[in-house]
Amino acid sequence: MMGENAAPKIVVGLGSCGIAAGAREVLAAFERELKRQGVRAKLGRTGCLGLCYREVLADVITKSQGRISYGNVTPVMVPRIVEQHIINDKPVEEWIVLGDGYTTPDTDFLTRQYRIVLRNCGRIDPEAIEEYVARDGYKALQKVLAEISPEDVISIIKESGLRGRGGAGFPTGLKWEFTRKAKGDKKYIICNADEGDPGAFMDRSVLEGDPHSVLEGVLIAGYAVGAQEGFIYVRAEYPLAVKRLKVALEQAKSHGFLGNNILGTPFNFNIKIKEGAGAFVCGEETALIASIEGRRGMPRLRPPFPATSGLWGKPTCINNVETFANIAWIISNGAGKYSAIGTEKSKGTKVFALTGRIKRSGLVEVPMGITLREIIFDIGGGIKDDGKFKAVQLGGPSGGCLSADLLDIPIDYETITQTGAIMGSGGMVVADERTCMVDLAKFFLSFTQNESCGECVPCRLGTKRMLEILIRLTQGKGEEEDLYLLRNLARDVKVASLCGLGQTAPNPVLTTLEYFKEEYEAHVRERRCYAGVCTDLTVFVIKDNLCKGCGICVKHCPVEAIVGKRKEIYHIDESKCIKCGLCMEHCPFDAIYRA
Amino acid sequence: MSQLITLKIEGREVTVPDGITIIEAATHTGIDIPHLCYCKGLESTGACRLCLVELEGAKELVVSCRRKVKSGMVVRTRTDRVLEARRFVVELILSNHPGDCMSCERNGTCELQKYAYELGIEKTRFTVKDLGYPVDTSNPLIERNYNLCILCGRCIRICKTQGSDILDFMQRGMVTKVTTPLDKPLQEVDCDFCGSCVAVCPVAALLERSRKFRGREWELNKTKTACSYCGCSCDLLINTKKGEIVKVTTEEKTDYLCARGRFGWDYVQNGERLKVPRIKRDGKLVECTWDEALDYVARRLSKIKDTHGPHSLGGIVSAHHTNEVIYLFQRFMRACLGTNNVDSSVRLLSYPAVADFIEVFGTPDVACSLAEIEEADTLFIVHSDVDMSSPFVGVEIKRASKREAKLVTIDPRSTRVAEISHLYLRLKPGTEAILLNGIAHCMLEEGLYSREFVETKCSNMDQFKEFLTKQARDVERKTGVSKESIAKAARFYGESDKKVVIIFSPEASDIQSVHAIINLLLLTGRVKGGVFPYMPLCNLRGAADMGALSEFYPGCKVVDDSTTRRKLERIYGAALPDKPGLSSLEMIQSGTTISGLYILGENPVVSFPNTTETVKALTSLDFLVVQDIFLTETAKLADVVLPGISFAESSGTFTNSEGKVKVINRAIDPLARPDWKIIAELSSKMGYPLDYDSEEKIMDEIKTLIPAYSGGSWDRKERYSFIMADMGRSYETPDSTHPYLLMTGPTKFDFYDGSRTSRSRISQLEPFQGEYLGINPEDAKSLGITEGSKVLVSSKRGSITVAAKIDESLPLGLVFMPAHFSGSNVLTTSDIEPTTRTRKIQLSAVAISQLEEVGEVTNE
Repeated sequence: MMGENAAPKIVVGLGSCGIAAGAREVLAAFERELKRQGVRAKLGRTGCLGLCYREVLADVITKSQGRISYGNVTPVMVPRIVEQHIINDKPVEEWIVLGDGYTTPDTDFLTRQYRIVLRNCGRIDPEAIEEYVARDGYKALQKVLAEISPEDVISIIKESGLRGRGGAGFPTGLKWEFTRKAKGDKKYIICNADEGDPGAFMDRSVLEGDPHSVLEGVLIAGYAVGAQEGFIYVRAEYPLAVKRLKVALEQAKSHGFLGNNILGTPFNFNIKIKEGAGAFVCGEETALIASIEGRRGMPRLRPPFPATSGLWGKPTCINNVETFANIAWIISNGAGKYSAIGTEKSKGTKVFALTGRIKRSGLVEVPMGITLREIIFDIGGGIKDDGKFKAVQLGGPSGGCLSADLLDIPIDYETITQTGAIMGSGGMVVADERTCMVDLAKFFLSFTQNESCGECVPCRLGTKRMLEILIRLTQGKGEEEDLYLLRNLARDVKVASLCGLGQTAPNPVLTTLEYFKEEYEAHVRERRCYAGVCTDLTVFVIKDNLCKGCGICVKHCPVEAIVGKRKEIYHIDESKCIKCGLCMEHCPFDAIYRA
Repeated sequence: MSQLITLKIEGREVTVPDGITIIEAATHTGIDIPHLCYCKGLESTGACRLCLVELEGAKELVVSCRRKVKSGMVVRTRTDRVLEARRFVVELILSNHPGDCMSCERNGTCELQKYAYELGIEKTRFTVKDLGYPVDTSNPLIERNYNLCILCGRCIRICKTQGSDILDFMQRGMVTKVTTPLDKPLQEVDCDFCGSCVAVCPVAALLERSRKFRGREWELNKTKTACSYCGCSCDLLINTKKGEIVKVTTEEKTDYLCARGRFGWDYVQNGERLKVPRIKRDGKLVECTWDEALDYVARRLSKIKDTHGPHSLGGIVSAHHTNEVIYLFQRFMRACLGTNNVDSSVRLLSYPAVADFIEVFGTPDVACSLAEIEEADTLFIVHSDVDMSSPFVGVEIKRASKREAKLVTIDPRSTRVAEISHLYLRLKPGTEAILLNGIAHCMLEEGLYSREFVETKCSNMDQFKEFLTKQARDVERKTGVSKESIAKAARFYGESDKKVVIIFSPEASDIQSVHAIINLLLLTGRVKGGVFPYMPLCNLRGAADMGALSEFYPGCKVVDDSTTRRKLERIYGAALPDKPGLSSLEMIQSGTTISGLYILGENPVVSFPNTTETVKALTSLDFLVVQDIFLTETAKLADVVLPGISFAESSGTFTNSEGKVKVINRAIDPLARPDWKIIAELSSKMGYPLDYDSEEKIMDEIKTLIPAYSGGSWDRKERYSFIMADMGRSYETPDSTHPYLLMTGPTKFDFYDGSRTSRSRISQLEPFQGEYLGINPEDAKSLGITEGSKVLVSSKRGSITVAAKIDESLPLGLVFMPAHFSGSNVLTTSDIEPTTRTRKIQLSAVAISQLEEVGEVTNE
């Protein structure tokens, strides 16, 4: 990256995550500071490196020190970095998160990863095609067009063992083959970038950080299946991703990677961006196709699968962002190298969005077969505030909650499915003792219930009835038979729903019922929420022996629920208490507790 | 598709055609698989999840309405797993459905209720929610109560295929609702009110308003009969309770009926129905007994016959009557009164087509079937108001288009059909014949015709070539259609291996365009099944067949054919006149030789051109007897009014546009006297007894005269001649005083002379009560007219005041008025075309001016 120009370079991480953390301000501060101090240095931008917990990230690249990344950068820190590192060539050691020759607590975060999909994220300027090309970008496309027949491309992808990263894990090569063999005067490629799971941001980061890798994947797929037109269906809620995709399309076109006679060959391919209108169900492939066609985004029954009858009734190959981002790497490095990674049936790597009650949250790409424990404790650094691990939610609202005794299972499609969770698109939410599993199930179900398209009865009405039961439980109004009814409903919704949304919506409920049954029972039998989340089941109590009568709690109570006199013992009037917990938080003597 | 395969359902080996679904195969075998969203005749979506079945070898339950059968498949429809899933689905639906079965109209036929019962669900374990949607009763025909809706989506799907495609889901999840564009009431979103949605609704979310609290399903009597509005004469079931009509339905849920067919029957029970005869005394029509009335009519007619001869008498019968009534009427006129002055609605509505067909093909039976329209590869639609005139033809066109048939539309108005066409030739008004001849000429030039057929079957090709060459001059300028478009149309029509049907309106066609259409058929040899004239009245075909034309005996035999005459004289036992009589138009015009006129069911004051002349002619008659069910504008002028009956009270037959003989069955007791009995009695009183026990006996006589009505076929010519005439324009040339051309025609809800529809709730759906002048927005602007402005429209015949309706489908210079509106014919001309003796002018020149607004118009 240094190039022949010896001037130092400062690169700020300008993904949505970085921007939210203040990266634009940091960039401006660098610009100001360089000018003020009269320093000659280049300013650049890059996408997300995945260390969300360290945003804003700023890299300083100099000839002598190489690339050094600073984390949690604020504008205040900028003058010192400029002066010390750039002018005096002495990196500010206490702020370094990554750098050659430096070992930091963050080193583990990256060293345990295997980055194929994220190979360029956080490394290149996503709006500069030259930087992608400089890292062997579009080489795979050139190779394919020059030397490999479409059938052989499909064979390579089949050999690599790549499976669809959208969640279901269908073998990608096979899907391409079906599309290629399907009869049709026209064929289409669709890139599903309608990432809608709460807590999932893998696709966004790739689109924002390395859009060309996705385009290259789409182009190779188009060549392989015999399509000439592709659509990228991307959430309108991802404005930066949309913008970078548009820039990337323009650049790819002007560089001859897109359009007619690509790279001087007879291969023509065009890509259009279609922005989604924010319906979760449009991530389902048939609903997505309906949406592109301008119809109401509702799924339809398969078969026929899109590979035979997709967009406008034509054979259509639809894969997600992460799947496409793997393609160029596989072509360039060979199917063997890819299939050497992972387990017997799940090859390659998987990107996870690691969030929740975890020390190092962020985007991680790991080889298949790694255990949950390794991801959560080794890469993620364990539970925040050194709390106790309780559960991990895999696969977003369609996935499941796994308990501590499953931490050592290897991550592959089959094993995860056996637990009742799903690989899904890669959401991984970690919960500690302060999380109520009933409440968590309620959260995910209220999401899917709200996003149900309303077409089929089980999903439309079943999820609603399940949610009503969960609400009753968290309010302490649940009865023993509710648990039975909830389980039955969940099973029936799973069996009887039309599309993937309804078929997987009960998973959070079923898995929590399976692995955290006692918590449900406590909500019903004892009317208690041990995590203290369900406010209707929580009581705040002032311990007589600890209360000093200081009155600080009275000052903080927003509803005047604390009664008593100064210098005497205070009491909480339960009828007025709104369970906000402010009193407990502010009591200097820890005299207030949750019961 | 036709290959048979064998599978096992519920342990039974069944052999069914390959390609069908499991649910269809089960139905084949008599096994009922519960279903709510699936509906035979509609594309299935698999949304309700009720039709799930177990398939051996499949891990998951499969949706039987979508899964196709396979040889060797083993299907189980009632396993515990299946039943649990079904109970779950029905219970969930019940948790969102008020259980008001007690007074629900669908009680007993509700499909949800049926499955709740069959699955033994006594009560849902969930609290039933009140959705709180307001019930829509804002239109007169359909009640929409979405609190009862189970979101099966049938209404949406059927509206797409045979309605106006105005329904879809809105919102999602629990708040999903079926809605119209912008959630507006049906009457504001161009709804056709075909009621197909009501027919397929499995619950009571959509209902005919007419049936509310007027009968439980099991109390209803269903009488199969046929519709008496347009020429499609669709099959329908009249549902009655204790002799009162409650609603109209169809045999299969998805069978199409238009608004008139499904909802337009209520005139039958309108309070204005005539039940007792009336005689004019001192200028007033007063009620009298049947004997008084019939004696009086007999006396007066006899006297006129004696004084002025039989040809001073005339009769006109409407083609909405049965074949039996029409036949008897002509026999009465010819044999009892002794005149060929018997004519019918055929004259003004379809005569050129009928006459041409008989001349060229030797038979009026040339139309293809409605099903053939749906199956065609290419449709040529000349006059595209077909979905107003004959809505079912419009549906067949839509279905064909869905099957990717090519549509070519020829019409100055950009109608709905024009909009979905592959090729839309927007010609200048009144130039259809020129354009069609232009197309024929182009086909000749490009060799796009059947040389073999023309050489072996047609006699006058050279003459025809010459004629076309002369006609083809200046086609582009005269019609306003480009050469390229004409060539394209010629190529569409000339594709010899394709099934092409020309659909045209006989009502709107002058004789020259009918000639041109027939010539196209001959050029390509499409003499069988190549044309569909959509008849604007249910029994126009029958009326012609029955001899209700002054130049034809029954069976379309010309009156100067002595063999037929002798045969008829033998059967009728009377001498018959041998010269063609007067046409209906000739009977009612100034200087007519008619003194006494018998009008059965027609309403010339509204339906004949030039109202002023018509009224003058009718009032100057010595004697006018009108037989009808209402005191129509014409009946008011009569000396005697005889009350007849409606189709719902009649038995008999209609012959529809296809040439199919449809059976009419009596659904309710006659409110007055059956029309055939009135004729028979009158005839007896005049000394010519017509003794029939029943309508069937009349049909027996018809069968002896027309072989096609007794299972035989029409005599057809084997050799043909191109048919040519250059008779100049069929429209009045606009000039500076009358610069606009007026077209009159059908509208969506009202019908023909309005006598029936104006007494039905459906007429409430017409804008401006159906009395308006449609005008292009730019013409309106230049005249300072806005929607609803009062305008004065005048022609050389007269003038009327009417509301303006801005209509973007009209081209500049062409204005439109509904034909059923009694004012429209004040403007039209009754000039007679000498060969067909029907109207010569289809389009009249008019002037339009805005009326001064009087004072401030306040909007309340």
